[in-house]
Amino acid sequence: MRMRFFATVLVALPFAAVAQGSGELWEITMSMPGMPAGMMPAQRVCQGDDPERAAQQQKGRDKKDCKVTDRKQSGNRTTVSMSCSDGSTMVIDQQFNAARTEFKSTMSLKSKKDGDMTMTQTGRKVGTCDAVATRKERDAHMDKINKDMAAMQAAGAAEQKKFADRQIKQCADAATNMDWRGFGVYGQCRANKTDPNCKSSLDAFDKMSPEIAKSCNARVVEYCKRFQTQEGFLKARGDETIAQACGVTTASIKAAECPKAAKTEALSFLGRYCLAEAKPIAQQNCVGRDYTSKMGGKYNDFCTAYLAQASLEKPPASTTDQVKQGVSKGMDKLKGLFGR
Amino acid sequence: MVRLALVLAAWLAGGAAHAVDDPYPWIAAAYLVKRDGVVLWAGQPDAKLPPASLAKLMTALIALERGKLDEPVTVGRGVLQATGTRIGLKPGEKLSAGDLLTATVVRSANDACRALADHIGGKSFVRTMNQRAAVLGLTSTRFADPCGHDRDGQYTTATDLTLLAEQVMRHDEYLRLARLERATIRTLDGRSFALRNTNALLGRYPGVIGLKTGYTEGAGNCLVALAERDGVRVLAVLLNAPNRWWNAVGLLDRAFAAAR
Repeated sequence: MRMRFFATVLVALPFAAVAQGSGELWEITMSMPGMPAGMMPAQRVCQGDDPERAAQQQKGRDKKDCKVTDRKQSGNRTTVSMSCSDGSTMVIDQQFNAARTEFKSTMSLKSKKDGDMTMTQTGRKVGTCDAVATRKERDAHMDKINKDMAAMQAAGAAEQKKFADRQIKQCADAATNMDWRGFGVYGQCRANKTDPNCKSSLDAFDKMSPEIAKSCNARVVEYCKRFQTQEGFLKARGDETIAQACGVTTASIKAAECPKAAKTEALSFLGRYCLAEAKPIAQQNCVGRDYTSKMGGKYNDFCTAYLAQASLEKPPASTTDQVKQGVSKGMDKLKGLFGR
Repeated sequence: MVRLALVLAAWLAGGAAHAVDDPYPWIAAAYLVKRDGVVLWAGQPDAKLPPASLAKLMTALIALERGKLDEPVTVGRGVLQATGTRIGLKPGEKLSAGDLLTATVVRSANDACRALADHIGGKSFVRTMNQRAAVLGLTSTRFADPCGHDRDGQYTTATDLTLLAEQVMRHDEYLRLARLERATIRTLDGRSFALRNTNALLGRYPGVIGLKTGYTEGAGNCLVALAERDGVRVLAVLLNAPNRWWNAVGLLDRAFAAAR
């Protein structure tokens, strides 16, 4: 901000002495150490008798709380020293040629905040201009830029609000539909908040919109609570990763819910997750059922789930004969290798 | 003594290379379950066992890689030797190679498989299968029949079948066919065949894609099951699994629910 102020001063200064009559059109080039040549393009400035602009510039300077502490003039050379309330100081040394058609100036800034810096400026008069008309044109241009900027900011804010609304709705839907993936980073990082990637993602989202974080985190809590009910657990398909993210285990949920499910004959839950409690019902209603048989009725889903899960349970010893035979064959082959 | 040490060392090394959980050793002579390419569980994954119709995965792969599925194929007399599941092709009938592939994948039809194999490679087709297997790194697989009939010296492993299935899964056309519950193919002169997929999971298990069933007396019930839910893919290979459908559903359910 201060840099912009000094640059304005630097541009304005030479013309204080020549600002009279019709406007003079100057082409001014600025450069700074370390900045590639041509990075700051030459500016054309119309300088002349425009009381309104002079008043605007003075007002701007007064605002900055900087004062001219010394001013020396010797022929075509002017040296001005300034100091500002924040402790920074600036010295401008400016030299015109005899015809006052060219100048060169150097600005040295010493500032605790911005550091030390030197800026040079060269200018040449390239013609005449109408200072009032140019100012009006520039003011109109600036007005338009300001309006465009304001419109862009408003559009950006609206877009951000839209994005936030969408994210918040997505988290709400995720909780309603028990769709853990819908929480995105709030779900993935639920149990890994200290993971560097999670931390940086969550921080970035928090900065972007604290409302999203607040709403989504609340929905995750809601989800986790529902996950520990039979209905929620079923909808989330008993996912162990989700259980871990919620700070529980599927085993603890089953242990808590299976006795309740047995009491109420909650068939869907029993068939999938409570083999021991489901066994008596299965023995009555699922015996002889083949995977491809058409059965229907209220036990259909129960039997399908139960038989699939039960098929992975260790069977009584007699039915493991086949496997034993396989092992025995393998042992025979090994024995053969040893020449027996 | 040296021989004993070598055998034990090889045995231990083999065990170490497959230090994967085997929570269900009783369900099949061999099985392997992968989720998103990572092995979750496996039992006897390197046991050499007959493949039954899972051999058709290789036949289908070769047909798909060869392309030219619009090409007309004249059914040869070889189909008369096809046993097991058949759709009733007659020598001299003409079908597109694509329709023969459809019948091979969807219905596991041995006559269609035989006609396709004869068309592509004739008597050297089995050699082509074994060459392709070698290139894929299926080091414990040897084919002796294009369609998986029990033959002496024909074997594969759950590990190799997983690799083969993953290669086949790269072909969208295979996945399209494997998903079909029903399909109809026609000879070029219009005789049609209604096919019903042999994979009982289709239409019953949510998210199932395929891939191939197999059964012979020597191999027992075999299955390569692939399912996808919420972008997660689970592949289960079962060899000689008496309860293959129930087991497959149980394994898929548990694989989807297991901690990631």
